[in-house]
Amino acid sequence: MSLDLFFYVVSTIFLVYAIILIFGYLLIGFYSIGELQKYLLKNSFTNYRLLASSPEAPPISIIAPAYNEAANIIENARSLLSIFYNSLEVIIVNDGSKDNSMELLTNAYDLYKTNFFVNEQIKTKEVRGVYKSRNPIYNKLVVVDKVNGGKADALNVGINVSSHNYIVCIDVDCILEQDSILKLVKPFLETRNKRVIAAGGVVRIVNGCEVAEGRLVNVRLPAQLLPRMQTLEYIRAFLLGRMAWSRLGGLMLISGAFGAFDKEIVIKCGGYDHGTVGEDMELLVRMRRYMEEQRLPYRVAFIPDPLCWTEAPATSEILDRQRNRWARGTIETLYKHRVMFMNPKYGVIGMLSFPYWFFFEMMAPLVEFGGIIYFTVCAIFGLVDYTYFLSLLLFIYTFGVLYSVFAILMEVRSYNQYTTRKDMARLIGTAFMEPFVTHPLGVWAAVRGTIDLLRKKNSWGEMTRAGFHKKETTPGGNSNPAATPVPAPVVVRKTGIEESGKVFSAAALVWLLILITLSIAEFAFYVSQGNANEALLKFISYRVWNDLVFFTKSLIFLFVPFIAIQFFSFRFSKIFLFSCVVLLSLLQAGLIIYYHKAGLLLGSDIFGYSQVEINQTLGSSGVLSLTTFLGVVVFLTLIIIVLHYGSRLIRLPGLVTIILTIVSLWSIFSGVIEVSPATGLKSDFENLMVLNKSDYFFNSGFQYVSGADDEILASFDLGKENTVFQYVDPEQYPFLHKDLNRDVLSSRFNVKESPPNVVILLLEGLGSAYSNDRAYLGSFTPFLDSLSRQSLYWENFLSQGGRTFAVLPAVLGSLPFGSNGFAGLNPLPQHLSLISLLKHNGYHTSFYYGGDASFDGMQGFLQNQGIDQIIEEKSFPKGYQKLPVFKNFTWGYGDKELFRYFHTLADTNIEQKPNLNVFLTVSSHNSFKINDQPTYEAIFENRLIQLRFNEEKKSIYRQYKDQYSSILYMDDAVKEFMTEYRKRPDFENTIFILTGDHRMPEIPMTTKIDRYHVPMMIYSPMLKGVARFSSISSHNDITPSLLSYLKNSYAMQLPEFNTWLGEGLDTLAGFHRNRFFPIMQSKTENRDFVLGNYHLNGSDLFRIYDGMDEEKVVNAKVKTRILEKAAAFKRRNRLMKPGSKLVPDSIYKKYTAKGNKTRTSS
Amino acid sequence: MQEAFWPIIAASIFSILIILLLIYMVIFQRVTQVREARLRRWDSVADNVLMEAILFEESDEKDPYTDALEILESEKFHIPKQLTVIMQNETFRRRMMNKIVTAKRNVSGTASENLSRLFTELGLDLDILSMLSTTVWYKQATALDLIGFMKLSNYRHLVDQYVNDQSGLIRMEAQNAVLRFSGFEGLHFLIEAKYPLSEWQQMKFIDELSNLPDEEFKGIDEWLTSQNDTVVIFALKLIRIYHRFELFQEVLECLNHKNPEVRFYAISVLKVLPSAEAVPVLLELYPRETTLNQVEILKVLKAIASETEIGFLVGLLHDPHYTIQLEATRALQNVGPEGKEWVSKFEDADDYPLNKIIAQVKEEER
Repeated sequence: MSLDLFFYVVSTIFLVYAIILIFGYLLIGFYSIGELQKYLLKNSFTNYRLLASSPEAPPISIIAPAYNEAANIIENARSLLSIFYNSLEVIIVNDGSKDNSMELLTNAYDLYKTNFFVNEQIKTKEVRGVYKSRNPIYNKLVVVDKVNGGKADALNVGINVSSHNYIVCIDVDCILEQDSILKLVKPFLETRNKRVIAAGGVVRIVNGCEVAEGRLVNVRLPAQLLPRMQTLEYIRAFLLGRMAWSRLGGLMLISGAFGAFDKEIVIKCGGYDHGTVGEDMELLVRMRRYMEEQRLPYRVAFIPDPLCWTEAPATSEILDRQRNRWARGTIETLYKHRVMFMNPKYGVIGMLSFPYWFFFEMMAPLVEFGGIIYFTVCAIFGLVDYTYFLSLLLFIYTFGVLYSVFAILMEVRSYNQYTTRKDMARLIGTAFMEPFVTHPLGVWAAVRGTIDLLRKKNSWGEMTRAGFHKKETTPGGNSNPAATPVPAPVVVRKTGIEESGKVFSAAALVWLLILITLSIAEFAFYVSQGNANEALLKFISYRVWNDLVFFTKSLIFLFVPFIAIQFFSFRFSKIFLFSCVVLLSLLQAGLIIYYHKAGLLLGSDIFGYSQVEINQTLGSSGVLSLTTFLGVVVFLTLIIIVLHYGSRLIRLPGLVTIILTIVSLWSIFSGVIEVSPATGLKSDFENLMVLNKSDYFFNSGFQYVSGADDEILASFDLGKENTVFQYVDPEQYPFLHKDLNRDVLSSRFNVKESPPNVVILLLEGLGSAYSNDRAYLGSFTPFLDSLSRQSLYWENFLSQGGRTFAVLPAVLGSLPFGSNGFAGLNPLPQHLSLISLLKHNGYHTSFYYGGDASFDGMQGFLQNQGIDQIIEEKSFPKGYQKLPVFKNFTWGYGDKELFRYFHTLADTNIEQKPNLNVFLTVSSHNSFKINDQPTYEAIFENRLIQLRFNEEKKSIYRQYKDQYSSILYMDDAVKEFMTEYRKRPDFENTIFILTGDHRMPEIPMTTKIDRYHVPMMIYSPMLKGVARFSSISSHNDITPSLLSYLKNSYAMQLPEFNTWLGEGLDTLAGFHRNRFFPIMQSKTENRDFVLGNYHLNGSDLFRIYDGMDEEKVVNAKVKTRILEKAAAFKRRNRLMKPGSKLVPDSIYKKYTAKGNKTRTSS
Repeated sequence: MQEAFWPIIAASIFSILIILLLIYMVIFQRVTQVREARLRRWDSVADNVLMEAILFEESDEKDPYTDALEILESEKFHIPKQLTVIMQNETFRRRMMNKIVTAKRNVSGTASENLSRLFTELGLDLDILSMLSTTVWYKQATALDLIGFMKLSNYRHLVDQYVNDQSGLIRMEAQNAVLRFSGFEGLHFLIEAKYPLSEWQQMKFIDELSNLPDEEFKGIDEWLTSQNDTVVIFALKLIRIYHRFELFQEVLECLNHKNPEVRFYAISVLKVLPSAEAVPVLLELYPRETTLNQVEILKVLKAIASETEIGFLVGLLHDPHYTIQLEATRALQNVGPEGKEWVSKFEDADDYPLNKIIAQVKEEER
């Protein structure tokens, strides 16, 4: 179960991540279209020639750092000097090249060393000299020779040397479009209300293009595969990604290959950071951060025109190193400026760009890598279906291709650079290949980059530039600067980690203390109620173990997000951790209270009820009250105080956190976390009490949400099932089978002329534990006991559910459960039932209930079958007294009032038709408040004496006096009902069927099966004799037997095929029969199955003995058999969808009278 | 969750979309190619007409008694029937429009006027009118641009209403058009200009005005008092470009403007209006100014300072900003022999950074 939980959670995280990522890309794609169109239209008005020649154009300084660029330096410098711009300064910074770059430049441009004063506004490595040309043609040229310090340092020197207010940083070997500078500068001139701090443009791949004298002559697609794929990648990243972010005002990166900046802001921010490998991204983020912190209006401009052409890595080694650096650069920048993460103070960049970069740029390769590994391993070990795995891959792949094709389309519609058919076809072909080649390379390099960073291997590696083609530029990351070894900064502060470890271990310890304190409080409460426990040590040790298991398990789920958030904000991670502990503590306390109020563990049932039903149930149990609220407030305050001071006082070494986390992981992977019910304690109540309630809650919830069981069962071959039923078409009509026609009742009844009335009394909360002769708690139903002795009585009878929702579909229709109970299916499947079939045979059908019939979907269920009349709470006239209001809630009218009203109605409403009257009582429902309570409490006291209990036992029983009193009241009500009914003329021709809907869990149970063990009797003046049966039958058997009897004795018209789950009541004397009973404990939990005298509860097998006592056994063979039967049942159950057909139209139309509308009296 | 079908459905949808996009791309490229080929076929017809229009010359030997209608008729260009037919094609009309505009950019005088006439004769002015009547920003901006560029004086009156339009592009094109029609006179809209003039717009104005004869245009003094700071800056630029010395006093008044950017431009104008009168004003202003403006003041002082200001300039050689030290040294070096001597004999002249600064400044002099 726990591994399942792990797999489920992890799979869900991966899938949700992938889907969010895909949606993010789609949004970005569409969002970029408008911006691109707008730019193109606006651009058509711009005459760039004006900017080039105007003396009013702002002077700019181009800074080009160079390291070992001797191969191309002269050509590159010439290219830069030929840029057409009125007021320009070209600064080439020789970053301590080891080749003869400086010599070549000096010779080519007739350089001399000037007495230039370098105003060191940004601290840099030593400048050896500033050179200018003696030739006035090259008066724009400034060459700076400096000590090697890396690209960032070289750029900073350029900034210090530059004499103009706008700087353009460029990789020296880039090939620029003719009007690149003009386009890049224009945004600085356009905006008045916001200061443009930086502008960037599109970088394209030059591989394959025709270049002559430093100029791009003809654009062609690269012939080599890797550059071609990067071409596509660049188109995608620049045309879609950057464009959208520019429109949003959240651009975080301007490619280091070519970008313009406002020098004043750059200097105020301290220039490029030479301590990071992603200096271009880092600078822009720092500039934006500065502007946001200064609250200055600003803009970062992006020009979608291809401005700069650069050579892409053509080998996988260089590509790998490039992507490795991009990953490191991204992480470093995000870490350094983590204060901006989700910080509204930083506007769009803090709330949108930063989280996007964190989750979808930085994390994407890691998640993708982890996801591939995870799903592959799962597929290999059969944890994930291969088809599913492959279909997931296909899903991701097709999306990748779609996104690329969309980017190509945008390129075609805008710049249309690759015009030849061949190029276009190859580009499209690349879109299909790229996910298999460069994408995995990129992902792997990014993963290794992250690992390298964590290992503080923060250098440029061993790359040596050997000319033009090894130059690297990023579309989505950082550009490669001069390949200079730079000292590595320490990325993660050690003190930060240690402090986090201490905070976490302290919070964990407090969390454990809270868990144990709550357990102690629970035990104290239990003992204070007069419950002694002989095996106290065992009792407590079970619970402590279970608390420890849950505690250990919970740690990893707290630790992972805690560390992730800590990466950005220590404060928030602490708040998160403490909030989680507070919430978990509240949940645990709430679940403990619920258990003691309801006698049940709260699990996935919470999913099976509507909000109204939950409110109704909680309201009736008195959980929602001012006292509870105050209690919560006090509890909450206490926890917060303990956490606050605890985390300060407790200073465990950070190592403790590591150990705890490892143990937590281990506990999840090992079986130790399995919630296994304890056995051998005094009662099932105690067995369950020792469980950690939160553990049960989460496990049960997970099981429900994941539907893990169903996945395995979904493929079960129904043909293999060993069953007595002859199924017709299991796939289409999963439950339709030939009628067994096992008539076990005809021989026990005298036959009358006319069909008998049938009265079914479904008695709320009536369990065999406290009813009839063999009640182990002593019988509190004297009348029913006496009636049973005049009836056919089934001692070992099972309800089909642990709550009321199951009783009507089971008793009246022998129907399956669906996902949340049959009556909860909406729309209801087309089905037959006792009501519809008896109605078809001339019966008048009615349902009587003192409460709100819409509860549990009862009204809809009954109306669907065309019931003639429903009497419920709203139907009662004046003169009837409702049950006492408790905590502002009452269930409606008590049982006595219900029966009284029935007899009043019957007096005036006796029809010639035979009647089917179904009653569901309500008085013995939680809160167990009845009218005339003192009388029944007195009867209860009297009953304790009659049962000869000693004082100690009496005091224990008195804890449940409300429960027992309500049972006594119900028994009395049935007695009055029967007494009154005897006076009716049709009494002699009436069959009474009495059974409990389930045993009330509020009185502690001893076994699992106890909850379903209910009395069942058929009483009638027509009975030939009385009998008691030990064999096991269930609610599902009532309808089949009753109908078989009526068919055979009164020639009723009934279908040859039906969908009854039950084989019919078992009237054989022996206990052991090989029958199968599925049971639904709550609306969401179908984990109980009985086969013969074995009971499977979850994964625990019990052997049932006569009297429905049971003990846990190990018998793999039997367990397999039950699991097979369960699988077949669940498979059928799954096939039954809301609104489906359980029976074909031909049968349904023939045997139902849809024309008769139900009358709900009010 | 692990239902195998949903990724398959999603993948199928993506695949269909891929196919649709590819089909669209193929069709788009095909349609573009066909259209281009057709337009190229028509180009020769269009180019002939364009060439004819550029080379067209009116006959000088007209009989003064010739009927006015006849004269008008004779002044029309010969438009081939084929062109009239293909002009019905929307794409070609746009192409023709662009061709005339491009041609007009490269010619002047009669040829340029002829092209404007051709534009009207082909009815393209009506296209412009319909573009102006839309609510699409770029169509309106194009229309306004072309009205001004083609000098469509019939539509001159339509332009004024857009000079204060809230759309930056429409406003800019309308203002340009006004300038094209009315030259310096057209600048009157500056008085009421509600929106800031971007640097780009100012550059365009200056470029447009540079084509006009340099005349003593009026109104600058009014613009200098505008509430719109960008108008003041633009006016200062005009004073600088056209050396309007008579506005010297007004410029001095701008030195007290609250916006440091305006003051910066006012200071820089003083470089081209050299007057000793400005010196005391600048010295008085200096301590209150931003560093950027202080540097600019020093640049002006370099041109106009006398030996009287040596003491002030020497005092700046200890300024914490090296740029100030550099500019002060430059100014001192320019004051005359006494200034140079001061620089050489300054107590810290041999220490960094002044030694480097002095070396640079001395080298600059050479």
